[in-house]
Amino acid sequence: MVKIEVFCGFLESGKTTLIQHVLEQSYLWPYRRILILQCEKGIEEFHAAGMKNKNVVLSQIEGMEKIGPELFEKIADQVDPDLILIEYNGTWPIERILETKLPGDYKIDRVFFCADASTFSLYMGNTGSLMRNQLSNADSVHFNRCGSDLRPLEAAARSVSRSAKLYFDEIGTDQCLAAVFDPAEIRKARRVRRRNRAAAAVVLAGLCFALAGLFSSPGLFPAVQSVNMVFIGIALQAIPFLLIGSFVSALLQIYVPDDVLVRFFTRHKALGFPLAALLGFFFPICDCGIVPVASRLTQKGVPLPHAVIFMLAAPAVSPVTILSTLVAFPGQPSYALLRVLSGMLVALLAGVVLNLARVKAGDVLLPGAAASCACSVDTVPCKTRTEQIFVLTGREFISMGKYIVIGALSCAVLQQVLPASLFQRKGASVFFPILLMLFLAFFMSVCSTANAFIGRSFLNVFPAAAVLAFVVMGPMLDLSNLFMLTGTFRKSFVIRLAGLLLLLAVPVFLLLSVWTPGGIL
Amino acid sequence: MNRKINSELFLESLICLLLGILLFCAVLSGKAALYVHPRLNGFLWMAAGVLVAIALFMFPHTLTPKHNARPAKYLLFLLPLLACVLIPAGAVQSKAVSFGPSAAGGKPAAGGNSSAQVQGTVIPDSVPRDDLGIDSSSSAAALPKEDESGVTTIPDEGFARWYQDINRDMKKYEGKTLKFKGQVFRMAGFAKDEIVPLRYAMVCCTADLQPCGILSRGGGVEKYKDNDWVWVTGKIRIEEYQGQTMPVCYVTKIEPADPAKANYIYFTY
Repeated sequence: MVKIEVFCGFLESGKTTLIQHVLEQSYLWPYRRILILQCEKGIEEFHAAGMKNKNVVLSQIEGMEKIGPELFEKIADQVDPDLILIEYNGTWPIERILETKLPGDYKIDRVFFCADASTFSLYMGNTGSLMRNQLSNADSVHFNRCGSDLRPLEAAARSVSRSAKLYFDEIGTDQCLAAVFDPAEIRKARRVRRRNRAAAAVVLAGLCFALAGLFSSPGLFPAVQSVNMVFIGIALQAIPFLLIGSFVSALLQIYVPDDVLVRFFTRHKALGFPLAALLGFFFPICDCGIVPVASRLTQKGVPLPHAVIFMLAAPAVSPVTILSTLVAFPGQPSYALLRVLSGMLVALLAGVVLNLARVKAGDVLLPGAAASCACSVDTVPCKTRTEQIFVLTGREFISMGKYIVIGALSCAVLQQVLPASLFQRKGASVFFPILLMLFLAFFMSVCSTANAFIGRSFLNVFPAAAVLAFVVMGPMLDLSNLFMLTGTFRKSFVIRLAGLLLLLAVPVFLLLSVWTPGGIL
Repeated sequence: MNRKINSELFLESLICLLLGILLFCAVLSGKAALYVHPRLNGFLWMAAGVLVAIALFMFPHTLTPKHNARPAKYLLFLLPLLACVLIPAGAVQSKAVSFGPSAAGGKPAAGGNSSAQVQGTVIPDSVPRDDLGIDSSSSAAALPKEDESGVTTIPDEGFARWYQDINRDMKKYEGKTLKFKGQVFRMAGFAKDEIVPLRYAMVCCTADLQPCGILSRGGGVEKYKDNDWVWVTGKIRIEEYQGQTMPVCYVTKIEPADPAKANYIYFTY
């Protein structure tokens, strides 16, 4: 097999130096013949003196049109190397080489991306999709001349590629190169891979047996079926709302310039928070739809407290929820009023705490999500706006959908597994029922428009304050939403946010229960 | 590694397409109603259309190759797709927590509904019901009438309305003979001659199904298994049961029944 290694990156980004470095490594000697294709002439030149493998052929490629099937056929005919290193031109689209039909046993093995740390962010901002596409196809990114602060580099790289490995120093780069070029390392990796594959096959076979067992055993199948019913039910009702949410998010990304949104939220110093809380009234979508919107707001640079307030308050102040609460508690509009008020209160308190703690969006966003650039738009170049909106909606939908799948499944399993007896204790105090209802809301992940109806049915067991806690906190604190948040925010932040909400919710609803003695409003 | 397409985008597009087609089939065949409230059908239509459109828009882009694609992460979506196709729709098990609410207080018969009314959401008579979103005129009109033999038969489609009505004003039914259909349901602590013939009410989706039915007592009920469909005829009395005032049906006749056409009942508020 002939391995082709592609080195790409800007002009003067250290490609030649990196290739020269590879050629000087002793593990290269087993290779029969190494061909270097140079698509770009930089200041650096190759020095034959330091090379460990003496059979190195250097060849220049002048134009992009030269890259094609004929080139590699000619190489196979005339040079017959067993390793090809390509120093790719930074201004040629990477797709050109990726699309090329290669001779039988030729294969593009790795794409390395070299970057000069001092100019990387600047170039990424200015060179458009060309560089981004090279980066997004890279297996690893090698920074040189790094300063002490690696965070901006990481953020900028991650905004384009979530999967590429990033190397900031020579030690890491050396290990990475050894894994690619050292025949001994390659053999070792192949052994590990084979072992992993065998293990995976065993696990898979085991799963199949387990599944077959589930299907055939009469006792378990109804339980599986029951879990499946709930699972599909939750997922199915979430799909349309998630789509709407992704659509709004895509529209925000394409049509609304970042600074307009940010200014909208921060124009009034005092009014910013209440405004964020009330804005949800104009987004009459379910809580599962609001998460992508809120994530997009944060990415666009809206201050984190504002975005969080918006996200938490939106399900409580949405007209659909108000209506459903009115309907679910007939004759008692106080429930709807209390729901709106306590929802806004908890959201505002959470925002104030975040504000006081000076939590910055940059610290809690995942590196890939931190960049405000419309990166996914570039990696999928579109001709028209409509096309762009649809593609973007789809990608957002899929990336959020993962979390819906996980959330819905765990919720369905928990509903099946948790014994009902857990909830049969009549709460003497108010504290215990509130906690219990919060716990239940967390695992049930019921839509904000529906949970008033479910909450109402608890009125016979628990005091009104606990039921309100369920109804209000459910959309804020539920499992599938938290899963979705981890797609945009760091896990530690999501956990802290959940903890904060719990801490805020308990006193707020305890206080409420003081006003509603006996549990009846 | 030498892929000529963008496998990630290809799978995304494929997932959207399959999901869209699945939604179309689900709504067309009426299977969607097994899982979610029919009022979502409009949304599902829309979602199916949008998903197919997304798939079509995405597809041309999959032809641009991507080197370091990681298609394995999309395996997760196989789970719901396969679950929909492979596992046939069945009953949601009655022991699940979703029934916790009604089961919790030991008042299975009344369901969550009635006791909520009893404990605090009773509608004062003076309040005109229309203001609360309850269509008072039709709710009165649609209630079934007694036939000549003094039996009031509740049709399948009238179950929800009747159930709401009896919980709102159980006195109205005291001493009347009713005939209604439901699935046999028992709870721990039930006497041998006690069952609840119930229907499941769906608010939004299968995650929030609630059992609705009234406690029925009488000879002959013990030979029906859980989840059997039965017609129950009996006289309504109002009793205290585990600390709750609720209507109880004293069964005079119980017979097997065909399953109701609609899987769930839906309350119109």
